[in-house]
Amino acid sequence: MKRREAIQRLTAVLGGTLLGADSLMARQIDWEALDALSESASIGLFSKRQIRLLNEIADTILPETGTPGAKAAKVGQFMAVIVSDCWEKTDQDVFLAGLVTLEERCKKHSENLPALYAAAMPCTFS
Amino acid sequence: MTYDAIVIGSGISGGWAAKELTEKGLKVLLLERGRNIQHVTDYTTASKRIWEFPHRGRLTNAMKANHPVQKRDYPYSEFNPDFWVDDLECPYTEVKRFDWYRGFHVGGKSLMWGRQSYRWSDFDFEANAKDGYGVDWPIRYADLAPWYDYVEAFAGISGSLEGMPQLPDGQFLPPMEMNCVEKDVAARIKTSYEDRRRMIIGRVANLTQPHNGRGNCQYRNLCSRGCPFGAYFSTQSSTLPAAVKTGNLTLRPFSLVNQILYDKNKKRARGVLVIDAETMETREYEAKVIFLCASTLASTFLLLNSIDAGALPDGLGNSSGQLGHNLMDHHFRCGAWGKAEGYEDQYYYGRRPNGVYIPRFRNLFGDTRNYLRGFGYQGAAGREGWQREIAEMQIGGALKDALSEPGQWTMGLGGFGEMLPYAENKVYLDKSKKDKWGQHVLAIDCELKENEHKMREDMKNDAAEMLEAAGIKAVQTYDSGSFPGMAIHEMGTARMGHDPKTSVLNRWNQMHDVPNVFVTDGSCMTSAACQNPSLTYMAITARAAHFAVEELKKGNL
Ligand SMILES: Cc1cc2nc3c(=O)[nH]c(=O)nc-3n(C[C@H](O)[C@H](O)[C@H](O)COP(=O)(O)OP(=O)(O)OC[C@H]3O[C@@H](n4cnc5c(N)ncnc54)[C@H](O)[C@@H]3O)c2cc1C
Ligand code: SF4
Repeated sequence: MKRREAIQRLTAVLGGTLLGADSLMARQIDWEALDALSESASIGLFSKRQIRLLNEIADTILPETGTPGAKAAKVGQFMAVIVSDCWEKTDQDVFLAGLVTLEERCKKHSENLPALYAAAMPCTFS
Repeated sequence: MTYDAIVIGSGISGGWAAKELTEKGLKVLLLERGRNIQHVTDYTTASKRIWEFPHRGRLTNAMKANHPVQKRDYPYSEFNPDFWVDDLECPYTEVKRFDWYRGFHVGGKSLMWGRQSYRWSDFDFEANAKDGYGVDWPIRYADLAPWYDYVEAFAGISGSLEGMPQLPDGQFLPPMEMNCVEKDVAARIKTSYEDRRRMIIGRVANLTQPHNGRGNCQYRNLCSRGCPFGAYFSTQSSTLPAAVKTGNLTLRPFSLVNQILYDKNKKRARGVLVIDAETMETREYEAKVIFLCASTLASTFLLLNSIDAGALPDGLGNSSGQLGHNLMDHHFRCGAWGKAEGYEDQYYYGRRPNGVYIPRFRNLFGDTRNYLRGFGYQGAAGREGWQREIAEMQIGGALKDALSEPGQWTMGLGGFGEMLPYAENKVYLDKSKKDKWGQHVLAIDCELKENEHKMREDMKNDAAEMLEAAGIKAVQTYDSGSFPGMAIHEMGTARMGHDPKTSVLNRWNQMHDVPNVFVTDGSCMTSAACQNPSLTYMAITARAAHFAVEELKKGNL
């Protein structure tokens, strides 16, 4: 099954819209690898680890299809630049806090929903 | 050093003054407060792709910090940041909010302007006389018509011949083309309003064919970064090379004119006092005639600031007391837009740096409203891009693929309204502050009033009505609010008039009080009309320059 079809199937399983934590989980993020990345600032306010996470989120929204996806286009790095250089402090704070919340919810879901994902994803993504 | 003429400012009007005066054989010193920008080679961002800008054009917090005024609207961006002033270096006092957009460099705002170029008509030149606001214009359309011909033929204005009395035709290059939706909307407006309203292609200073050795426009819509093809009118592409070619021009960048020097006995200006903008050294230059073309408020400031040891307490040429008063701009940022259904199989060529235009129809030809004067519209139809929302698809490959295709057709119209000349809308010297060069600053006290606010209701509703009549769906009106200065058509603070008691300049843009000083930028305007004004500055400048040369020859200056 192609990745696009898989995500569409997953959308159906989860009931219509595929958002936030649920859809991120479809990516089977390797949290351990992510955790191993440095927390120190890499681009502006963002660490390498956060940038990798941003890339996963972006690639969930705009995945590879006939053309490369957001990760390949380094959208995570781009988001880090824009939020750090252009956003107001208050908006930056909301963004950074949201990233933490998203990650927590993802991890929780991954414990609760293994069966669902197994059904949705008979093949693995790389 | 002594010259025949000094031109202050190298923007749209100063470029024309320099060209005309040098071509007539005068030795001209062109003084520009900012740096030089060489045509083509100094347009450093002109050919960059969007992804070569780290912030894709957005302003960073660092850019916003020293551009508290320039950041207020779209023109200042990461695409051409060097074309805009550092607001902290040249502050002014906003008694009421006034957005003052400026660029100090050779070429002035001719590099960044929107290039919409419309003639004014006698409905405009007679307006003050008819309704009593301001003073009567000392000229009529017939005085300016040959000069419009003259500047259009040189500058290269593309447009269509329409035969509309409120928007006289000119010497046009072939018009740009409307897209399929615009064509249909134009046809439907024409029939719905029995030709009392008409939507035409914008008249724009972009070349639709090679012209005077300049290349034609490549439809990139990146003009405000400078054009590598010289395909739009700017000082650099047009008037400056013509002036240089005569061998009569001396261009001096970094030359901030601080005062015009006045000879009390002869009642003439004898020259200018210049501050070197880099070293702060001062220097004097003398000339027989001075053309003041530093842009409306900068020229007015310079006249107010030319206070010669008590002899001119109110500024140069200000015996009328009108200097600094009657400030006008256009008011805009309101109109309507909606969706055009169908046409999905159609697209358009390139990125046309121009839109459509609906000339004024209110308070004309028997129509009367509860306000005076009128407005025109600029607009365009286009297809939505990838930043649009797609219903029921928030993420995923299907969304991405859908966004890669052009979206829905939309069509919008935005009004540009005339602002009346009010004596109390004014600027004056604020001696409590100084700029980087030790000059006092300008205080600006200007607001829209009832006439403008009433007009804005029509600007919204008429747009919606026309779009609906043209079959556009889901039409919505908008009013994003307009503060004086935002339209960057500030004018009127050294107005022309018949009477030296109520005006600063005569019908030749010559100061009533100081006959060898000519002011030909927007400060000379006696009313504001609703058309973009710069073409009129060009025509007025060329006309004044020819008059000045004749007067010099006759020994009258
Ligand atoms: C984004 C934008 C879009 C626009 N769109 C349109 C449009 O579509 N149609 C239209 O008609 N108009 C448009 N305008 C307005 C147009 O740019 C101005 O009307 C026009 O440039 C004014 O010409 P100017 O010669 O008076 O002033 P400027 O072009 O501003 O030139 C003045 C020059 O004088 C210099 N100067 C100032 N003070 C001094 C001093 N004391 N000593 C020496 N030099 C000095 C400045 O540095 C500058 O170079 C637009 C402007 C902008 C910014
Ligand atoms: S759109 Fe035309 S005039 Fe504007 S920069 Fe490009 S080629 Fe030059």
